[in-house]
Amino acid sequence: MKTVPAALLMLAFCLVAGSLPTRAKADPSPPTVEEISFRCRLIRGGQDPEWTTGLRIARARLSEALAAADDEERVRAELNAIDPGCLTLLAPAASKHASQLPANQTADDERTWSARLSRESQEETLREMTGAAATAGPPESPRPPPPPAAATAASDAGSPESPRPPPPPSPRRHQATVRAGAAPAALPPTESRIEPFFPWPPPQPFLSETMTRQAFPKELKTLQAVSDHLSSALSAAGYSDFRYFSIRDDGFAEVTRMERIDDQDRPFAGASRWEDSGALSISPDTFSVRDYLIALFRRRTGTFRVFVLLVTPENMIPDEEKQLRLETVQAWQSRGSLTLPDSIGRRPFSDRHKVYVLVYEFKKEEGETPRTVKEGTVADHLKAMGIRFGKPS
Amino acid sequence: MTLGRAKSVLSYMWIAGFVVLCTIIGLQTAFGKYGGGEDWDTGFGWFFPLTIPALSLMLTVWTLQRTKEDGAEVTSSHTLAAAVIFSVFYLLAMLGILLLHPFTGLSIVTQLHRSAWPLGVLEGIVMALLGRLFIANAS
Repeated sequence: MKTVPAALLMLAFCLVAGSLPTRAKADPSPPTVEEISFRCRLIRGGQDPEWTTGLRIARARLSEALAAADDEERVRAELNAIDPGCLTLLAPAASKHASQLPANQTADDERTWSARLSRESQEETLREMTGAAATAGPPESPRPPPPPAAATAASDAGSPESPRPPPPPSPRRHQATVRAGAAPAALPPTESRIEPFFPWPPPQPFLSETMTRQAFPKELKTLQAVSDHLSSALSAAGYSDFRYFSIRDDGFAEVTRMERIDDQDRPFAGASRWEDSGALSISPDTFSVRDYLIALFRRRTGTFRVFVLLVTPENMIPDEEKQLRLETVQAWQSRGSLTLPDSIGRRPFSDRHKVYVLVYEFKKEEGETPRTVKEGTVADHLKAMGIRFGKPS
Repeated sequence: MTLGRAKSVLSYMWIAGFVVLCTIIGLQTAFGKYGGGEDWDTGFGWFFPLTIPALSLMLTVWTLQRTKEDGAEVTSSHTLAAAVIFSVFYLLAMLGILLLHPFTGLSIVTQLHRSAWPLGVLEGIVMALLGRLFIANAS
């Protein structure tokens, strides 16, 4: 019996390693909630270099599954059961009424995505998922992506351009059925859309402070006004180059650049403050013989900090299983929007909204991988920087 | 310049360089710059193979050959000049790698690993020049 899970694992491995581009062209099988969850995990884990494309595909798959399902709520519930954050991540597409895209566009997207996404990333995520499935359920639990039978059926059915045949009946509980001829759906990208904050929910560990609507002046009526208020407070402390992400469609995240700080939570002076790569070099601008000798003869250490401000009505529950990685912080800087789009900025700053101030701190020792730490409080960091959010006292 | 004088210059230069570099690496090792695990000897592992061959060549051969040629003028002044210049450059390169390390973002272990092969090539050139200097003036 041990061969069954092993065979399933190998089967899934082969599919992930080699068949995604092919499947994009010819797979007639409907998307499963496991496949959608698989894509969500790749995106959330920061392992997807083609993040935007991957997200678009994932949304298209979700829309396709919802459109095909007899009971949309059941699909949502199933997806929510195996991957609670996935629906939130793909929120704009979580409706069967989402706008439609031509099938060939999604296929093109997927070809690009699969070509860019490293095999190691896919395998790692697959291992994580199959490991989780092994602990959570029997070995017969379905594993993403869909089985090769689908691809075989596709090749039997003819060329990729031929109409999709109706899917064979499947005993799999999570399998959604695609209507014959139904085109996969996705939201068309618009210039006002920004990427959702990732990973969601935010991984541990971080320091946090939650502020309610009442802590802010009444004049702040829109999210844009809140963003300006937060940016202004941060700018006064020397921060710039903020990056924005959406949180569903009625919230946003504002992220500062990673900075190097000293033991008193104060930033380094000069250019050595902004160390996006986590480098431990000493800056010639702030040279001191003492610092030089310490760096020459002892292992260099450094502490780095990122402020993440979340403005959302969501009740945020941190993801305890995930640890923030330095690569994710770097991805925030490269993928975040420079401004808050109007579509979010025009939204009202309601009483339901809360402002979460998160502080992520990394400690790095020379030659070692940076590790996240949780020391002090948000108030300590804000005080050290002279930052004050909300109403003036 | 006599051959004996040339030998002295090169020998003192190498011995001085060796002592300075060895002291820096010794202090770094003592203060745990290379970590307390398996990498603790990375500094010496980088340093000794790059200095001991040339140093032992000079000290051994030249000590054994401390004879009547020491008083004679160096016949190949170009080789002597090249040997001195390359020796200085080589030792300063090693010193620079250590002393400039705090200004770089790389870990010391990575930096020493990356510099090993270029220095190995340079070491080969220096040893060839030292050998040629010896052979050219041996007879």
